[in-house]
Amino acid sequence: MSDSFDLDSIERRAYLIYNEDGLLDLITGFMMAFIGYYVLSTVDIPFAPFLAIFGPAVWASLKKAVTEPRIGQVKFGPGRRSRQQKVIMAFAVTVNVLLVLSFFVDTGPVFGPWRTTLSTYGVILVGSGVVSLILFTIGHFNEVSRFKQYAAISVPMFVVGHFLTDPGLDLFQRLAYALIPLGLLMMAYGLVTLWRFVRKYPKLEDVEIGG
Amino acid sequence: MWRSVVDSRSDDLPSVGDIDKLIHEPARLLLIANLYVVESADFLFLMRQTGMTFGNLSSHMSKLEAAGYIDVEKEFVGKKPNTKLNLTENGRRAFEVYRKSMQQLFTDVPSGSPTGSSGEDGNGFWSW
Repeated sequence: MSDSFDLDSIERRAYLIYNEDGLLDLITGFMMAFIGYYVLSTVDIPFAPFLAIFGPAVWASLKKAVTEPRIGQVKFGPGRRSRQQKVIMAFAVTVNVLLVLSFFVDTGPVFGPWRTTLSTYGVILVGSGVVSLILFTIGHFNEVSRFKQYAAISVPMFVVGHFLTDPGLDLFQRLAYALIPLGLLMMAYGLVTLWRFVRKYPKLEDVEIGG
Repeated sequence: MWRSVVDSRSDDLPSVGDIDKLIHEPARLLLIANLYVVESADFLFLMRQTGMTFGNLSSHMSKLEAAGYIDVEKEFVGKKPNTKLNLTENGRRAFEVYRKSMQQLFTDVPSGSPTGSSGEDGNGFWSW
């Protein structure tokens, strides 16, 4: 039996156990790898809105199917919920800002001077300034330190991507070459974390958990 | 002995006899503390968080429910039974009174032992 009566620690432990399943890593990694693959492929179907809707939906379904039967259900207080809402809002705003910016950089004259800089150092600037920042934000607000590590790893990956990719490719294609391995890395670690979680918290029979 | 120590220091201090024994029991204290920091949790979650067995948790749950400290709601999620627990207003208030009493009790007790070591000073264990 646990002997800690520090209320903050108890609340934090209750929250952190929910992120021990690695599902956030799996889904986020899959989305990044998929976006990278989509950019490089010749498929011309706008997948972004589907990802934005189905990503969180699949994550919620997996939580119900994998996590809740093993560690149960909990409803957190308003403080914790508002932090989660902030992350979702930050994510939605960033995606929308990126979509608008990418449209203007591509077509608008206002961003003309930026276009040269972006086309030269875009992989590092956009990669570190947006992708790494998103990963760091997710890690910070969800208190999942793994995401801060992904953010730290992603910076050198974008730098390497900058030097290894063909400068003749457009920015998104060059970014995609760094996004795919980063996404695959997150998926791989997510799977390992999920495997550990399933072993640590086996499903209990109904009679054991009581009806 | 405790009462004499407390009484000799101040009349405002709670006496040990006033401490809510229903909450003071370690397993129930842990159970209530876990429910205090969330809105609601189910039986399985509390088993995982507290490390208690089904029988143990069930027994403490019944006592707290009988005292009106927790609400127990049984429902079916799909075909499986699910027991959801949450702290009532009464339980929340009782826990807060208990916290204050314990904090005050330990704050006003001299921290040094006769051998000079301070031991558990309360900053870690009782950091509410």
